[in-house]
Amino acid sequence: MTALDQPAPRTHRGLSLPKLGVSGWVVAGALIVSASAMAPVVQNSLMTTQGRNLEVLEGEQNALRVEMRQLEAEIARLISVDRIARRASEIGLVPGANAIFVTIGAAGPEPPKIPAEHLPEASEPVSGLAP
Amino acid sequence: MAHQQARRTGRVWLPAIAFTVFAVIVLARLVQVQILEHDRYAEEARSELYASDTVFARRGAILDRNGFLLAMSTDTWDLYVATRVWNDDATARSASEAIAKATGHDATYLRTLVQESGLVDVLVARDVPYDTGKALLDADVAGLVGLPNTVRVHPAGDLASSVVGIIGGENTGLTGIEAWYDDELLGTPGRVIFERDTTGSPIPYGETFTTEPVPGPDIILTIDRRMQVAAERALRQAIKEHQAISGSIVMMDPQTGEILALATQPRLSFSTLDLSDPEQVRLLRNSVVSDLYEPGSVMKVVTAAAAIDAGLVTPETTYEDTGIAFVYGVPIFNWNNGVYGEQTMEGVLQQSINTGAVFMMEKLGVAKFHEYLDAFGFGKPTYIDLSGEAAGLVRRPTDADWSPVDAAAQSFGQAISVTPIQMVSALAAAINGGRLIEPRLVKAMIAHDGTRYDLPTNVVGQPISAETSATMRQMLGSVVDPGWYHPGKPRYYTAGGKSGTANVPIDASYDDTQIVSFAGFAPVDNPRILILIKLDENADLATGTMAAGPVFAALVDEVLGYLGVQPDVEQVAAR
Repeated sequence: MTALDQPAPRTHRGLSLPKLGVSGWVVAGALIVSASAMAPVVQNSLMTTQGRNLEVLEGEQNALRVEMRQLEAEIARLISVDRIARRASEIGLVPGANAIFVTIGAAGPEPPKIPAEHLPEASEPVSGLAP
Repeated sequence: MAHQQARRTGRVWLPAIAFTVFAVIVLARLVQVQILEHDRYAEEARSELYASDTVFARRGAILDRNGFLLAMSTDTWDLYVATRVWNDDATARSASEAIAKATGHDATYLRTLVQESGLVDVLVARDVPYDTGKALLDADVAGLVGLPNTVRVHPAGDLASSVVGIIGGENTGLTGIEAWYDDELLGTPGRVIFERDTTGSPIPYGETFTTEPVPGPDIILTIDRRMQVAAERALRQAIKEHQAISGSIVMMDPQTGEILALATQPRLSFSTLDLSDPEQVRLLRNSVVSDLYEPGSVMKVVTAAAAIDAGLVTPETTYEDTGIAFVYGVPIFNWNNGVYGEQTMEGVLQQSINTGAVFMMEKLGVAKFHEYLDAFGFGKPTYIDLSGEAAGLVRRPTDADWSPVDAAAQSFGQAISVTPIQMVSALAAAINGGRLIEPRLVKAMIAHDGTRYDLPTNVVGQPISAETSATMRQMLGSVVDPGWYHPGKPRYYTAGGKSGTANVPIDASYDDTQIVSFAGFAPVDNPRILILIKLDENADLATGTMAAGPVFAALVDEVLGYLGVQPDVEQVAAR
């Protein structure tokens, strides 16, 4: 029975709750509830803001696409054969006559800067010629 | 005080049973709704909560073979006004003036249009330029609603308008490439599914599921804009010079069937097109594939090719021309009533002798001759990628109105109706090694992700051998370079060709008016270009050689130089 007379060994408690008292616990609980209630609101607000930003960015992207297409059309108009011929005529150029064909050994001019997918397939090289 | 003992009664069970029955009914209904017909009700709930809308894909562009734009879609706005917002006069006035200022409409007209419409939303302006519409919408003009749309623009103007074609109000192709490749150009529409409120409007920031539309592929034509310009200019000048009412020019690569230029006059104008005018509606038809004509002496090329291929004649085979040939007692004369005496088959083509063509046809026999006509593709469509193609008319012995003279007439291009594209296709076969190739206007398609799909060359027959074809090239070369002046002879290149002059058939006879043409190729040894020039009802009555020959010669010099083909005619330097 000796053992029974000895005091029980002290056990280690890793976490001890703070002594808040009843009102403290009530306040803490209220805070937790409030935070829980606010979390979806904040989350919703953030999502809404980001959604709005996304919408603005999509609008900007669309505007840039539209602008790009307008510029493509404008470039195409400016390089149309009719317009170039008209402009050439305005500055006093006339169609060439009596063309002289000369075979030269030098490399041809650089290919036009058109997106590769729009270019024709590579054709067999021909001798350069000058009008 | 004595307590009265309550009597035991069963009435209490009545409400209990009623409640139980009610509970069972409710439970049964719940089982039905939530378990047995769950899918159906879930679907109904979803359809109540969600709405969907179609997002149309951007229509593909049309480019020439070198990537220059001929047609493309640019963004616009269709502007609507919510009529309820304009009930207030002051609001209507200020809003209508803002819209009128930007769009060029009349403000009073806009107010009247909106207030008298009786609709919820009224379309007040269609295809407003994007920037203009955006500025209006950003300015929060009262009642103004903008719906995005696109409009087809043609940066190169009316160039190749009869090939490109037009689209209708619903962005659907009506003619030309726009119609033939409408399914491809349209792309695949997308779909947006969104949560909606009780009015059906999307809930802001609600759930949205979007299937992005897939834009239509860009279409690369076989047309070369530079050659198209040359063809259209040459055709305009020729029509003016020879006072013709209309005409067409087709340029083809005879080795691949690719149409390099296709010009028609008159042609439709994109900017002034008015579909309420029947004359302009007529222009929607492409005469190169839809209109039939008798080719006249150009047909002698086919007759000669057939007779040589069958081994019945050679270029040197001779016969005696007396200026007249009798077919079943019917006399057939030469075009100028000339008498040429002893002639070779080469001479028949050089002098365009009708009796010589009849001589070759008779050697072949009607059945064999018609076999060759079929093999060259006459009497059936070429299946070029343009809508409205005619099959042509070839009179045959099985026809009720057949006359034995018909085959003789067909040998020099009468009693047979062809389309210009059929004639070009047959002549290409005659000079390209004997391969009948399906003519085509589209070279490739480029999907929105940049993948390029090239359309293959489609050889559909071999009407004559390669050897016969080589012989035909030399014979036709001798037509253009006979040793004396020929208007169709180019300056820098060897060329071959044949002219045709035919009266316009009216009922069972012929009118005084004529259709003249010249079909030729260059260079002779390795043809890079085949050109057909056709002028309708030229008032000056010049022959095909005189009217269309010079056009051919000038075009050959211009376009072969442009294509980088080295001249094969020695030039003597001018001093």
